[in-house]
Amino acid sequence: MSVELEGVVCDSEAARLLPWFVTGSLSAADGERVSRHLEGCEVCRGDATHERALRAMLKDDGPIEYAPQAGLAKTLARIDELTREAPPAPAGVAGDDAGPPARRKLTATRWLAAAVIVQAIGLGLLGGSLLGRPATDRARYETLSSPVPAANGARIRAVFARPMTVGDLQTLLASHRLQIVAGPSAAGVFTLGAIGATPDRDGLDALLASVRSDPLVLFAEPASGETAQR
Amino acid sequence: MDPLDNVVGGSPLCAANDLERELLRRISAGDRDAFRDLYVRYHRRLARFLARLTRSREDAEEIINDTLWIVWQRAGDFRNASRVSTWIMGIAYRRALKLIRRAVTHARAMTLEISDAEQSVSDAVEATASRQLLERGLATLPLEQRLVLEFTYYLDHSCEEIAEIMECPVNTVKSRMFQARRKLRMVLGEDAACGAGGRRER
Repeated sequence: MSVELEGVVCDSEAARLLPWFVTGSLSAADGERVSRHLEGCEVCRGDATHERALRAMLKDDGPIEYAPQAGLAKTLARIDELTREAPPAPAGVAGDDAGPPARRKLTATRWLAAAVIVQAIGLGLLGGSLLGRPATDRARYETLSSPVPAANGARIRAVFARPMTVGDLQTLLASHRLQIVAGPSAAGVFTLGAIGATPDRDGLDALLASVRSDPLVLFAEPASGETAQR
Repeated sequence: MDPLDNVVGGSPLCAANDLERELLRRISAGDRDAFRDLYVRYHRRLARFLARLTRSREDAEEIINDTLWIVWQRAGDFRNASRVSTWIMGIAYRRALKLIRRAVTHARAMTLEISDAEQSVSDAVEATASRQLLERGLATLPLEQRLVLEFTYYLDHSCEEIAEIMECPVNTVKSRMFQARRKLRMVLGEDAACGAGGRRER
């Protein structure tokens, strides 16, 4: 293989448009302009040949195998999980990381509401029985999901980019003054609570914006019952 | 290759965009079959593009899934201000940048090394060798220049569309492409870039 260090010689504006002339994606006016330039520029005619060859090589997929089924199944499962878990998002949400649209049917909502009521009754009974037990029987440890400091705080549902280390997670939570209240679910959804005073509506908006801007956050929205300015 | 991908300026490209707009409309109504169609349609072009960008099949798959998941959520917000492919590629681009900014992946994307196994296979077949040479040449380019090349030649986006995807001025796209072509020419030489018989006389 020989290597010529000659680079692109013609630096006219038409020469800069040459790649898109080769792909045919120029406007009619620009295409005409480049065509006229090519008639009188031998360098660019040669460059056009070169660029077509380069494009052909880039278009050649080679031995790469494409197997979309596994990823598709994974994504559909993720959609199913979120559809079950996430509340309907307000309309007009901006950005890539906004919440899902309201797609659940009314019947599903009713079933969900019934399930929540049953769960609440069960939890109430369980809580009552636990409070009635002697203090020595209660657990004397805390977990990452212990809800004590943020019992009254705003709730956010979030999905983090993968892979993510425990250190990354701790740093992210600390930087936004958040803690894990629940999760992750099977779809990787965490419910987070604000540490300290409960933010008002503007505060929740600011917190959400801050969380969404974090490169490790794939998705964040107010949890059910919270409101946010969109 | 999708036969509709390579036709520019005529009705097939418009037809492809119309089809994808219709898929988005159905997806916004919760149509999973439409989502499957769009996923399969975009998986191939995203997989090759992202695998090259990240040099990791796993990372590429993760970005594809994240991108199409966002498409599922945001389909109703697509306003036809651009081609569907420009919108989806913009999402993939931003997701890829987020991932690449994590240091480990970035280092992997920037490495010029290829494994001995890859090298031995590439040496056996001329076409594969040319491809390997091209990959090595691309790996010498700064990320933004490499992206402009891929968006232009692999994905057939116009200069204006690339500016929209990369959220930069059109002139920046032109400059990146100009620099990329010059550097690639220097690295590869004309014979390598053009393949057999591609050398031009001056």
